[in-house]
Amino acid sequence: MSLLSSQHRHVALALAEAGSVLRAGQYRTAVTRAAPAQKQSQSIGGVKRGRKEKWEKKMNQERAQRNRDIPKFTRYPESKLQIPKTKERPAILPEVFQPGSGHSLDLPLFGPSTLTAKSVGQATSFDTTQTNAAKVFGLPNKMHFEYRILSTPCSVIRDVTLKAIHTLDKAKGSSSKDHRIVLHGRAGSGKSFLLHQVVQYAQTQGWVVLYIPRAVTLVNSTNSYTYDIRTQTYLQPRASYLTLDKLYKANSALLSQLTLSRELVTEKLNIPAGTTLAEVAQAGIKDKSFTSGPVVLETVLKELETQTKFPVLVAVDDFQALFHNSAYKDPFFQAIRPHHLSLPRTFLEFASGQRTLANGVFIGALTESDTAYAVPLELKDALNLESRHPVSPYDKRDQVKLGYTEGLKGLKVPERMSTNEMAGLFSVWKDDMALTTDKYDELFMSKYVESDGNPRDFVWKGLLSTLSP
Amino acid sequence: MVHILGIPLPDNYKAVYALTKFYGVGAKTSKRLCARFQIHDTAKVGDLSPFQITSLASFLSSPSTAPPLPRYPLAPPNFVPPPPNTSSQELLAKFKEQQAQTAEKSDAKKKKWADPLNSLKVESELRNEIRENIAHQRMIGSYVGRRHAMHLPVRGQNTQNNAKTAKKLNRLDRW
Repeated sequence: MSLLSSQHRHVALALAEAGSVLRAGQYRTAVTRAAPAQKQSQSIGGVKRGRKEKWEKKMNQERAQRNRDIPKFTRYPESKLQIPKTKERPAILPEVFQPGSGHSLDLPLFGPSTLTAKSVGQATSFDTTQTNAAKVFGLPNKMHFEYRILSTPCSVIRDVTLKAIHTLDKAKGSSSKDHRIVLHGRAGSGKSFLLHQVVQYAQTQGWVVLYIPRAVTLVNSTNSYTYDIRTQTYLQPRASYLTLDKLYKANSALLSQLTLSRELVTEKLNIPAGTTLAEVAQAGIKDKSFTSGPVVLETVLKELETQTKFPVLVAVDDFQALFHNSAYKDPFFQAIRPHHLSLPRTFLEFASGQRTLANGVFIGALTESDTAYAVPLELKDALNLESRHPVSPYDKRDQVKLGYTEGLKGLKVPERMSTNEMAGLFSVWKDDMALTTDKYDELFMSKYVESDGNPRDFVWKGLLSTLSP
Repeated sequence: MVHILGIPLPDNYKAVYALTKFYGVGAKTSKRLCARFQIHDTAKVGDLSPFQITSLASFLSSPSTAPPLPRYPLAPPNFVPPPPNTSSQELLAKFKEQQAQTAEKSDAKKKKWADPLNSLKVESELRNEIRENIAHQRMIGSYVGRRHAMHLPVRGQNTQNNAKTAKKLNRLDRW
């Protein structure tokens, strides 16, 4: 047993390693702290004589022992423990550990020139300007994680990409009543990626784009809500404000060429007719209390509906979440229906054709991976989707929600990527130095078969999770 | 930092959790309170509007005397809202008229919805109720009353060992 107490032993070891050896008495004063004040305990109801003092003594002894056994540096804040910066050795990471260490994929840019039948299986990258829809509107969660790992945001051109783009080109100039598409397919088959590609294409072609990457955030009670007696719905002020802000940022050039046909007069705003939509949006964005957000967004959307100068694309990912009763509760503690919330109602009306874009398209993409907001029966009926369990005609279907599914057309994303497309996906990760082996053929074929051609499983469970040498 | 009924609620707390800091409000009641004042699940106390805070405070000071909740209309699928320049006060007045008319016509026998929050008791009211209950037990000379008076367990627990909490907390003037 050492003559030193445990705390002093720790310090002695540390100092011994550093090469300096001190006698016990030299650092006793430096290390010990003033004993904490004796705490008075209160007993209610009375105890035997002398016991209260005994308890107090025991508790204080335990507290002192606890503090003595733990080294002092465990109680220091992190900022005190960092390596001090000096001129010769600045506190920054060496270059090898810096993220994005200079390596980047050299891929052609996504655009009309790279969207040909020849380029199926070719990976293309997206531009990184500040007005890019992905930068402004954001991305679905899983895509976001993938792009965080990749050095360049990119995706592979597929057959179904060309099909979707062709549909978009055909729909240009006509009403959205005839072009309300829902992308569906197996989990991980590439619906969100396809929707993102369509949004990027529309932006390059001069469309006005409104992209909602995570519609589940509109119904899962993560945004403020307030009842409005004029619209008889629950407005979502912050969500509407953010959507308006993003719509303006992504399309400011196009919105400044469109004008308001009727004046907008509210309690806070008075915008005359003839003002550009960009200025109208800015007036709504200026009000940082979010109260003007919903009404200005509605006005801008109404103008976009009626105008035919620019085609408009409304793209909603997590589309099935709009058909669930929301997580919001009304004052009577009943769940609020989606068509009683302002933003979900807007997108449901576009989807069902109750509101139409004179020149535009509505595209939704389902998410099969969210168990809290699974694809509901009404959507499955409307799009003729496969179901894991037998569906009975006696299962209850909500008539209002069924009404919002009228006229929806499904576009199936193939369950399996072809070998050509999969090879393109493989080469992205190979070139980005994400693979642990150089036996590419073996790895490719084995993971392609194991994942059954499912792109997400191929990348996440195949390439990134493999330990094969 | 907001102080409601003398209880400090830090701004960074989620509102649903912060409301449980009131004596008499647990997770269930907190969720109902948030729904009543249209506070979403992830709202923080710092994000609440002054109107929401004052209405919360006034409600919690006396839940039983709170006005009944109006059943505002909700838009059916084919509803076309009036233009944005319509005054909301006008619409509110119209709604109140309609409510008054339907209240006259409504069947008196119809059971009205009993708001669970109306019978809510918090803080001093609840403590008083507990004190009254214990005093009543003592007054009628019951076993429960005697045990409270002797600072011993009330509900049949063992006293050979381990009655520390009862010895510390059980008394007639508990709160």
